[in-house]
Amino acid sequence: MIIIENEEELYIGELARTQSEIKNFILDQGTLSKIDDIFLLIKAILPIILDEKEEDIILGIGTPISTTVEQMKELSSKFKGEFDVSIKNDATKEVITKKIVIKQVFVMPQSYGSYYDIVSKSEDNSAIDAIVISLDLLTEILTIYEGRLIRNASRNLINASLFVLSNKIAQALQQKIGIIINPHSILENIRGNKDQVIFSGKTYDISKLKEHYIRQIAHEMVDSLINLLNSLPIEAEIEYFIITGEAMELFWTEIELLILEQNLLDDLDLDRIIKVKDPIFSNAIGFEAMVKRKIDTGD
Amino acid sequence: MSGDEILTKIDQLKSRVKDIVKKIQNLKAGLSRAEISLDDFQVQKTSLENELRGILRQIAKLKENVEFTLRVRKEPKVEPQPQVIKEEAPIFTVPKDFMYYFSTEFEDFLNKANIYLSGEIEGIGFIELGFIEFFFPPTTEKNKPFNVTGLVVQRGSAENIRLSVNLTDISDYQSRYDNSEEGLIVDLEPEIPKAISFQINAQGTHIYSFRAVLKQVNGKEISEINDAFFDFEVKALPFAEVQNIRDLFETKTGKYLVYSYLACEKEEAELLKELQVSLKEFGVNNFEPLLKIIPALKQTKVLLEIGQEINENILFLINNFKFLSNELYEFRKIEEVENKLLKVAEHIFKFAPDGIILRPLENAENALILSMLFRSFFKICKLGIRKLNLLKTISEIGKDYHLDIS
Repeated sequence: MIIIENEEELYIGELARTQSEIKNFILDQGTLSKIDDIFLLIKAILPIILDEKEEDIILGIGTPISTTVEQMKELSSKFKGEFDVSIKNDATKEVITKKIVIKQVFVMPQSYGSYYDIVSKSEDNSAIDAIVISLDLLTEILTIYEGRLIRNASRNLINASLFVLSNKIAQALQQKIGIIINPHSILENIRGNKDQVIFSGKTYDISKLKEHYIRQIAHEMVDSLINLLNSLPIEAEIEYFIITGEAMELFWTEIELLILEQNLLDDLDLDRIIKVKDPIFSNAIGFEAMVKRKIDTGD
Repeated sequence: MSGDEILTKIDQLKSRVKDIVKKIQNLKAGLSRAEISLDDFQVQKTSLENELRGILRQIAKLKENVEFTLRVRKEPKVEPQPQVIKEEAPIFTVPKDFMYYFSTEFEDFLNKANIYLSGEIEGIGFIELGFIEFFFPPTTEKNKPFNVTGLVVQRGSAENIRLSVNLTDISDYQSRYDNSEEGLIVDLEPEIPKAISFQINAQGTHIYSFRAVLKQVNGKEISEINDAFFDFEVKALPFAEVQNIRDLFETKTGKYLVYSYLACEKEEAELLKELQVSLKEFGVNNFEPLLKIIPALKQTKVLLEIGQEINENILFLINNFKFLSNELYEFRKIEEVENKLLKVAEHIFKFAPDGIILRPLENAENALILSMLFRSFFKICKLGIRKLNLLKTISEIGKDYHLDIS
């Protein structure tokens, strides 16, 4: 996809990854710093998902928990308003131009979406004391206690995430086969939980490497989790661990095992570890539900 | 495998999980007491962990099947245990509201150009109107000008502008002055010179209205004038020493102090009217919200210098309110929350005989910041306090009917 911005054409998403010489990653060391780029990215996506030529929308955005309130405000204010957006399909050269009117913008920590998704589907729609472990390119641990989002006990993990896994495997492969490997180039294979990668026409089995680093990274994640739990009040008791995110399939077994081993669950009750049904979209689904509810209730 | 069989199998596997985890923990204990060697520990632990991984995966797979069976057969008997949810706090009162608030409403206040209005009505005195959204000034000359000084404040910088809002002779007030073509509607209520109530509906890109009740004032009377921004929603804020009964309205459930930030949205102004009608039905006739009138700042330079301070102070409020928000959502200990609010307020404001003064700038004539902070403070508090008071009111009404619904 290409977005046309001030007569300049910019690649977005996968096309940017494969075609652009200069890449702008929207997250920098796990923090949201390039708000302009995020703005462009979201502007580019909206014309595709909207039906009408001109449409009013309410936007719900999930940001890493490390995002400051000020940045959230900046994001929100930047997005509100009227925008003419032109995007182009690079393959067909079809150009779509739409007028987007963003009426309201809600900014929340991203993994709150999964929490909301889980809780709003529960029988009595009540808050639960939970820790959400969102396993994405950037791992996020979000603690919700007594209905409150506890920032002190929430964190983005820079050293333990899907991207770190990809990076570690890339480095190990690099040492073994002597080719410079960009972690982004094997990310798709890792995301798909595939055991093989191909370089210079040769296939390499990464299953052992992957298993090794998944265990290592999961250890780091659960260590961080324990540190965060220590910052909760003594009487606080976390009832549920919610595991979500696109890397859930890779990490959940190890995380579950470590949670059990570390005695973080009362009575070793496995039902208190909730693995979301749609880990890739669960955060987004939760946000959608939240915004819908806001519209329905006219808040 | 039937749903029941699957559940039985899951239970068996779960108890196996418990056994294995206990074995691993015993191994760890054994290692720490040097009862087994490190090598033995590692071998046994790895073996147990591998078994555990296998069981966990098996359970996950079986759980998927149970849910599938359930959906097809709709057998309530085999329904998986619902989530046990102990907290009564509804999910929809969790901090999302707070976040929404900051991300949508409050940033407007910070980011959009605001105009601070102060002015002098000939023969009456200085007035301070507070901040409003920018609107297009009217152009038609009328016989007696009502001069308004505006100061655009945006993100810490300030720029002096001058607007001229022309009214008909203020002493010949009309019940309604409609100059909508010029972007201005002014309502005057016939209580001059004691009080003037007027409403400006700024028209144009920003439709905002502005409602205030002004009291005639001159310099000497300022300290005697009761301080209240009125807000029909925000009641009983804890830090005000109220001496004038007119700041209170009474209902069956008690007396309430009423505040508001000055520039309210059109809908809110309409709501106020409705509230007044409702209150009358309640038998409340003395509802007379008053605008605090503070000496206007005379030097624009001072305003410009303190522009930066405004943002800092607002950020201070935000940071402090972050704390409070956590408590506010619990609704359990209203008194404690109010005390905390009071502490924040005390930190920012000094309560002097002649009014409430912003602490960090107490040596400056700080009407501008004070007004802005009041507005922002109340706006911030509104979300939480509204809910608190709702609870309070409900509880009090309950008492009227001899019901304890606290």
